[in-house]
Amino acid sequence: MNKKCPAGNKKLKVVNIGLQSFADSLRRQGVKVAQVAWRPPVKHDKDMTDLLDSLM
Amino acid sequence: MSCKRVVVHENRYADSVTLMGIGDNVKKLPGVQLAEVQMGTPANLEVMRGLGFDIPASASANDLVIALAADDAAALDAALTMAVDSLNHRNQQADENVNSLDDIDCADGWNLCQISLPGEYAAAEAEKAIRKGMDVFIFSDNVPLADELRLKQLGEGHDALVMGPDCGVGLLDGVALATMSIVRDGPVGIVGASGSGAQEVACIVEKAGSGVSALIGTGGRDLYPQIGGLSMIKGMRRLADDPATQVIVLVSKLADRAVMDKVLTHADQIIKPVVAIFLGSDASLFAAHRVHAAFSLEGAALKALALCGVATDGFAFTQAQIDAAIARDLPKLRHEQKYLRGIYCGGTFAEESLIYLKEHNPDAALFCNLKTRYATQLANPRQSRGHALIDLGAEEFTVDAPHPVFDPTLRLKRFRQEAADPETAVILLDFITSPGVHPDPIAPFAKACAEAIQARNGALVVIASICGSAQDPQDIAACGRQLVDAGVILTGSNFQSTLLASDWIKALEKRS
Repeated sequence: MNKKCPAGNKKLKVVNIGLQSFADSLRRQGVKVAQVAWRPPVKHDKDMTDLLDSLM
Repeated sequence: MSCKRVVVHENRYADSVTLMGIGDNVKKLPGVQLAEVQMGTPANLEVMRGLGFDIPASASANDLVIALAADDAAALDAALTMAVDSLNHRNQQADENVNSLDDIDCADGWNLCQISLPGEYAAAEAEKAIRKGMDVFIFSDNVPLADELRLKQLGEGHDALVMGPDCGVGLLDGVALATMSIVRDGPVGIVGASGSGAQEVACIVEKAGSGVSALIGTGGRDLYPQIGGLSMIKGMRRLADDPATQVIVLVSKLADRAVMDKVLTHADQIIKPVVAIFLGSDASLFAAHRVHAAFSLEGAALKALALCGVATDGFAFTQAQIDAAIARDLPKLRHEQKYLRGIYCGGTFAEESLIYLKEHNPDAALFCNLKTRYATQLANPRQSRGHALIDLGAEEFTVDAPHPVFDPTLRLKRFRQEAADPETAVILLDFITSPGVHPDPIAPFAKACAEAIQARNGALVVIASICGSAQDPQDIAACGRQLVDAGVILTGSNFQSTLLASDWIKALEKRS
């Protein structure tokens, strides 16, 4: 999808996070799909999260 | 004898539709008694514990839990193998698999991120995608409004479209997203804050002989005062720059007056013709604007086509057709058959009908399960009274069952309930087809309609419309024939169904 033109000639390439059936539907329409093997974030307490953020 | 086993996959996620499918398949194995494959939410864990499974106390909503009961150890092993293999196989099906958005390189052409995670996690992923330069389509609901505003403001800075949260439809590059129909290419570009409303406009455009350049969904809250129509305005600008789009249609339910006015002011600045419908608005909203006003979804579609120079003669329902249909069927009805019952899967369709009926049948007492100013709210949504329109996609029905576009079971049951009610004269149905919804949503209704009409010796009127496209996998032409063969009156749009229903109410009230 062209940024300036949603119906442009640039092929849609989709990253799918969540429902597998939506990725299946896109694939059946001939669309290139990358499925993210998403996992819930590990719960840290706030101090640990802040520390990790400051380190990254 | 029964063996049980519980396996917890810590910190692993799969969506509920996938998990239900896996559980159903495992249950079909010989010797398997129970197969629960679920995320470990408190509600799911309670169900599993209620079934007698010993779930570890450490299991949490972030874990995937497999709970199995079988006749013997061998059946249990086979069930577990199938569950785990199915989960792993699902993860291998996509063309490319990545562990996180961080692994995506947009230089490879990835240009859209589609997100349908639980709401609490959706915003963080959407933010990453926007910062990478992708447009985002967020199907998830329950995303905090403050996050929606933050994402849409971020999108402005990155020239990214933010479709959603709670966005059910999109059509980009001819590709149907989520529950959208595969409408063929054409000159009409649509921006919709009402998903099924925008889909209906697109499908009518196709049925009337033309096509759609793009459909950009915004999510239902985009015209809230806090959001200010950011995505609708951005989507409108994209379509203004799109050479394939000749006419732009804006579709929304009635929204905050100041935001609607702001959206229309932006529309005034666009050189291309813009048609706008805010379902339930009056003409005064448009008085100070150049925009072409529409007051029904069909009206918006036909107005857009007229502006494109496409002739749509013969599409609209004529009064003569309506009169003939009622004159044919009214004598078949018994005296106690007095009421209209609408059983909807599209909330916008229920609302479109209510708005029209309220205005054109002012003396009729209308009831609805929704809290709306157009009808009296039913005390019990599971029991109709009078002329009643029921949105089976409303939260009270979907809290413990799939939405009727994904699973028609609940709506089918309600149809049979209404058809068996001796006071029911006319039943109104809507259907939605697309690659993302139930693969065969109409055939079970065609069968149920035929049975219900036969059971009453022809003394039951069923009116239906299909919001769908010829390219959808359900084959709407064949579906339509099934309905007609079952004795259903098939119309071209929900608006046409409503016109017929309105005159049916008049005829029924006049008779009694």
